[in-house]
Amino acid sequence: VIRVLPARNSVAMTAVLAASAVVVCLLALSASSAQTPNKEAGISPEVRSLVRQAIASTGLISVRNSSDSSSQGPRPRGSAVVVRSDGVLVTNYHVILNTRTTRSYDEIFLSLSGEGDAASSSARYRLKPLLINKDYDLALLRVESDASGNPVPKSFTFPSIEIGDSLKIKVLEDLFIIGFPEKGGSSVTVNRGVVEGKDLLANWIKTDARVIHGNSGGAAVNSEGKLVGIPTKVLADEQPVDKDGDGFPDGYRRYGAVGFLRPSHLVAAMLAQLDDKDAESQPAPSAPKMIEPRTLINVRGLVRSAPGGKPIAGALVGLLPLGEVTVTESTLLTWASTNADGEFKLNKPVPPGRYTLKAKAFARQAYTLDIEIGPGSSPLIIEMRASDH
Amino acid sequence: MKRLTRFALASLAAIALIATAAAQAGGARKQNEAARARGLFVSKKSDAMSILVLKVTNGTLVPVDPSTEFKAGDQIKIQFQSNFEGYVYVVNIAPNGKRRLLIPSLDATDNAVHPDERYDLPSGGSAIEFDEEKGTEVLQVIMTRGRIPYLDAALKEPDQYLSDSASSAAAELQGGIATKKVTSVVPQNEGNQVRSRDIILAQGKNKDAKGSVVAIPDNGGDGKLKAGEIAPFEIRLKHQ
Repeated sequence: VIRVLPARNSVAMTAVLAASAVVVCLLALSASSAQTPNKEAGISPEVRSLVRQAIASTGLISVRNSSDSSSQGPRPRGSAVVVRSDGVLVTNYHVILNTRTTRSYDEIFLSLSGEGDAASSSARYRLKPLLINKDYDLALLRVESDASGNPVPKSFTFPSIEIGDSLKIKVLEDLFIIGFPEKGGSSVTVNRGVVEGKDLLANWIKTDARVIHGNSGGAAVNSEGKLVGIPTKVLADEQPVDKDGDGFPDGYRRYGAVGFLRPSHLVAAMLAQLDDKDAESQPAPSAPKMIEPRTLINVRGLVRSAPGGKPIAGALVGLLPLGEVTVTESTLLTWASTNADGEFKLNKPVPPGRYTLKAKAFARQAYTLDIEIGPGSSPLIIEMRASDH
Repeated sequence: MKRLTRFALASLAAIALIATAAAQAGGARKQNEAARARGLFVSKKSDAMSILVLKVTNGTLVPVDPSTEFKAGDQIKIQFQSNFEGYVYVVNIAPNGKRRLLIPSLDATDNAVHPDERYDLPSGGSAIEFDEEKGTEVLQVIMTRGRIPYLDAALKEPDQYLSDSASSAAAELQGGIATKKVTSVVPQNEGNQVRSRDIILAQGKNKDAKGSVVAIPDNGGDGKLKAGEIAPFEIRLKHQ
């Protein structure tokens, strides 16, 4: 590595410029975090009706341990949403996880309330975990009985939500978050925001809609009332502040927060796995099936000229979802540039699968190829031709 | 058997003669091309640039062969002279592939070049120093008539790294840039670490024997860069 050593008289100017750059960045960040979408814009009666239907499918999850005293009732833990009318629902794994035992709570309950108070709702059911994906922090559960342990008639139809296509969701689309956050007590709370971005590789949707404790496992629906995400976590942007000017931070200033949703296509995939399991006609195991975290693969390769085979330094290589034509911040999954020997290692590992590879270098034709990456894949060899004009 | 041996020896001798003749022809062609590149630089019939690698030795700048193996702590400067009105961008490609814009920089944002003026990288009393990480450092030099927006945008990136963020990498992969198509008439030469890519190259004259010249061939009188075209070349510095 080489570094530029500034001349003595230019050091001060460099420091001033660097400091200015930091201030500009912080101001820009502060300004952007202060922006909120126009939530005053009206919601059409049709959208309002569709979102209300989604509310009926969303419930409060409460839990208790078998060792708890009989006087201790179930404690609220988060939210869940019914995704199949036969009583299958989805929530976050961390909602039903007892962190002390690192297993699911012994007793898990769902309260469906419509727009009423879930705590006093008579529609309360006992749940059983069916399928858990730790990697995505998602769990599928089934209604086992009513709260007293009486079986629910097979003909009973639960108010279920339709699963939307989260792969097609676009930035700035409207979102409605439905759940039972702590601050709202046991009554359902709905708020509105937009899709701020998505990361297809890590399977996240980002939103500016308010997501707080208790929203976990609930529903994020689009303006058609379809489930597009599961509120899962929130990241706050907090910066240390020195209030008394003694040079040491003594507090934090919060500039904003971003809510993260697990896209609904992951829920659809888990439901498909559940169907496969049901099709095997085996008795349901007493413990839920655990899906192991995905294996991620580090992708390496070589870029060279064609013909000739000389290594190309400084070529940029990136992976996109298969068939993606446009390279944007949200479609570019991982990337790297080549060294003097034309070698590269992509900056983020990717799950096995098919991708569209793109490469670009000075004086070379742009390169695009659909590729498959698996655990035993050999390093990629990219041969770039000279430009035509 | 003897006849067969004699035939084999004769064949080997013939092959050796042909190989020697080819090597001599190659050397002569290289000399002609070097003279041609220098001629194009001086006559300004083509857009061209001279490059000199200078090493700080006992407080003074001494021209060195770019194929010199540099050590940790060595300090160098690169001197450029253009024969055309345009812009020059210099990107450092580190041994790990990370790319960083050196020209323009926050200290020297003006990367315009004018004929017959010399420019130093870095400017003023600064120098480039090799640190402990070994490998081949590439200085990618890009000659152009106009500005290159995505390289200019790197000035706003932290430490001027190229494609460090997803947005800048996406912009580079999505964006297009026309490249000057010229025939590479000088093949890769192991002994010369200033590598041509779609340009012709010449060693410097005797008085600055370690300097080099790169020029765009004037095939059909088309040796000038047009708007939207670039001519990139590389300086490879070995760091042992």
